[in-house]
Order: sequence, then structure tokens, then C-alpha cells
Amino acid sequence: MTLPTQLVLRVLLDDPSQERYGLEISSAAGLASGTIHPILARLENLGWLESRWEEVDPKTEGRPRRRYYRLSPDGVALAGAALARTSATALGRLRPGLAGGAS
Amino acid sequence: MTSASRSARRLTRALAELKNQKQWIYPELDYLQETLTRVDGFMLASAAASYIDNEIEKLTFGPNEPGLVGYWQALQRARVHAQALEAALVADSKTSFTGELTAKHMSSGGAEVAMVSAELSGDRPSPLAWRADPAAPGPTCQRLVALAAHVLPEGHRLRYAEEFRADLREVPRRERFGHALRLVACAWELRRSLTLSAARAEEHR
Repeated sequence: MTLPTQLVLRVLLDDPSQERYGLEISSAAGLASGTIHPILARLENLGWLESRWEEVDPKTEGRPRRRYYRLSPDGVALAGAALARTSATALGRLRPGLAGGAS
Repeated sequence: MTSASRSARRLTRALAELKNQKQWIYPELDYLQETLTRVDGFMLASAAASYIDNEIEKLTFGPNEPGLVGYWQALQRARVHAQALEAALVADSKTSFTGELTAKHMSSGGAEVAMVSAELSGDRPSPLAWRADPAAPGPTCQRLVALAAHVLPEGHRLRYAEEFRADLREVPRRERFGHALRLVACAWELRRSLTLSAARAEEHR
């Protein structure tokens, strides 16, 4: 899992029930604006993310609708497990004895 | 090779030369150059010309300023090539930018892309009325968003065009050009993600 994907998942896992739009997620994750959509598309294709249009009428509001994302129920569990595995692997690389719990 | 392709290559080289002057660092130039390379120059001439014109307007020194002669000349050359590319594209398509988007480079895109590009270029009233929005991005950014959406598979263009525009609208004005260029630069990666997922879905049937 790439570092940008991990950063995005951490943001989404902060409050899994909260819906956020792309720019909001990339700002919170510290990614360059405009680079988030490929990551969101991959996660959505995996079924980890759900998305929906903002419920406003663009004609009334005079602006385009935002697309909101949040983790799916499966996504919450899978993303949490994936991040835990990634952390354990990273820790294992730094201190091999710690990753598996053996000394 | 068409005259547009030749102009695109010249402009790419001119931008590289501009960067090599190392007088200042322009992050936008990296995106512009990368994007020009990826799309063989098509359709970004207008963005390049606008960007270079903006830089020339901001210059506070003349062509003979000590230490800055090379940069000044590189900027002028880049402008000439950007204008040549624009002219070549118009000559190729014998249409306006909108016509060019729809008739030539977006010919496989179908009606929905024609609608998006016409809307973004302001050639007809927008069904989303977004041009009336005082925070709406300028025409160069709108064209870049149209290009980013055009790169995507046909069934995804309308969705992402609207999503890109909604995000772009909330970016501070002075950062919008860079944001829009990054959207274009990342569009190929997004296209790959969307295409792969479609292929996987097909396999599972």
C-alpha cells in the first residue's frame, strides 16, 4: 500500500461516519491538491469507499455539486486491518523482533 | 508529424529551456511540461500561452537587464511557440477551441463530452448555471478541467468533470492553475484505475 493511500485511509478512519469531499480529504492528508482522485477511485473500486452526490440543486446554488466519500462498513474493518499490517511491517523492518512479538 | 505536434515539441523544449534558466522555480512549469509531454501538446497550448503571458506581464525588468537576458529571451521564445501551437491547432481543426475539443480530439467521446466542453467554454448557457457563480474558475482552468475529464473513460467523464469543478471552485484563486494542471497530470492514473476496475468487473461476470 502506498504512503498516499495510507494517509488517505488514516484521514477517513479518523471519523468513519463523516462524509468528506475530495479536496477536503487531500488537504487533511497533506497531499497536493488535484492528486487525490486516482486513490479514491481505487478504494471505491475495492468496495472500501462509498460516494454520493451532495444533495443540492446546482441551478439553485449556482455551483457544481460536491462528491462526498466515506468508508463503507467493510472498508472500515479492512482499512483498519491494512493499516495495522502496514505499521507492523514497517516496525518489523526497523526492529525485526517487535513485529512478530518475539524477542 | 502535424504542425501542431511540431509546435508542441518546440514548446516543450522552450519550457525546458525556461526552467533551466534557474532564475526562479515555478512548480507550475513542471506540471505544464509533464502534461505537454503526455498529451503530445494537444489542447494545452492555450494554457501555456496564458501562463507565459502572465509571467511576461509580471516582469519588472527589460530585455537587457544584467543577468536576466537569457531568462527574458527564453520566456519570449516560449511565448512564440505557445502561440504557434495555438495557431496550428486552430488551422488543423478550422474551428474554435470548443469545436476542436468536440470535433477532433474528443470525437470518440460522444455527446456528453461535447456538452461538457461546450459548457466549459461558455459557448452556450450552462445547464448547471455555474458560470454565474462569482467564484467560478477562469477559462484556462475550465479548459484544463475539460481536458482532464476528456482523458477518462467515456462513462466517467460527466461525473468527474462536475467533481473536478466543485473542488477547483474551492481552491484559492492563485492556486487554481496548479491544481487544474495536477488534475490533468493525474487523469491518466485515474483513467488506469477506472479501466482496470471495469476489466475486473468484466472478469467476474
